Amino acid sequence: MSTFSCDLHIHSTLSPCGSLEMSPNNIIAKAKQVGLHVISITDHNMVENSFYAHEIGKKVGITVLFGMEAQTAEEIHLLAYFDTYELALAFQEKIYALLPDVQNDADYFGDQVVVNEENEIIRFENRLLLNSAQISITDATAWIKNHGGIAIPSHIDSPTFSIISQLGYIPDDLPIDALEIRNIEKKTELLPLIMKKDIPFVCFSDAHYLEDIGKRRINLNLEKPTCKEIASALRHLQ
Amino acid sequence: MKLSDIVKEIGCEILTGTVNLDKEIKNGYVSDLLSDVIGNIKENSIWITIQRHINILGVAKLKDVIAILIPRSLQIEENIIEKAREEKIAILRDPRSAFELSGIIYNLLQKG
Repeated sequence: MSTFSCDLHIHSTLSPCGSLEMSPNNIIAKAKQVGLHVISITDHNMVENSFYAHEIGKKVGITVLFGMEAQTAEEIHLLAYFDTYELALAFQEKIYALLPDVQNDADYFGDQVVVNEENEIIRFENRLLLNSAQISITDATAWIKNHGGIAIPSHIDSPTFSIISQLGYIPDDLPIDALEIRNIEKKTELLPLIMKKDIPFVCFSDAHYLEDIGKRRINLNLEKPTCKEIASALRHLQ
Repeated sequence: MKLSDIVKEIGCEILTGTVNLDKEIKNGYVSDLLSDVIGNIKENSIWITIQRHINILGVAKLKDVIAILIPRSLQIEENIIEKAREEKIAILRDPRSAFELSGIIYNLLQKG
């Protein structure tokens, strides 16, 4: 077993709100520089840049989980992670089919760009990604868990797009692996709103700019950084 | 105003049978953020929302909501309707938007 330093919530150029410096290449270089071992690119409703980050990460010894920050019908942000790009892409296809066909206003929201290992633009995504897929948090979580993934509601202490802001409290029958919180000091205040008390808390950077990568992170003891092992290590965090 | 009178006036669909039809509605609220509803809805309200996660029942119970009105004829899962019957919370549905429904119900409640 060794200790892996993990920041599993990073936005790239494929998120409209992500800075255009957030190419897979730059993200991996920064992750290496700040001593991370496992990261995930979690763009809004998309996984494609995590493919390129994974390829680059392999060369420098950084594990990249294939990830997404999905936005459910209740306007809840939900982090999803998978071991293979095929599974992640299948999840993206499911989500994309349920995403309203509204075009992005790049001047207002920013461009949504898939960028490869060579910092070349592969394509622009034209559909607005800052939008809710018409899938419930229950069904999205079930899909992720049925495909061996990890499901973590994002920034539960945020006044917007969080499971608590949208649903008032966290129901006890959702098979989530952890809860992401920005400010761990808010935990005591939020506990009464969490029906199942043994769900672990995690802090990730939610970086939209290079300098924020790794600013919040967790350390996990693992043999190998796979979804199965990470899920198991998360259960032992509490 | 009694819930049964409101239902009659607006002509909406009732999904939970006779539940709460004889109860007096004093207030109304329109919001889809359950944290906002918990913070701000008054008791004995009719609550208009497109939020259809089962947590709406927990919030309604907590805040003594009499009826939840779903606009735009949106679908709601059968298990939520069943649970609402058990928990004695009325669920109503109507083809009109939340904007139109709240205007109509606001005027009804003003008249008393």
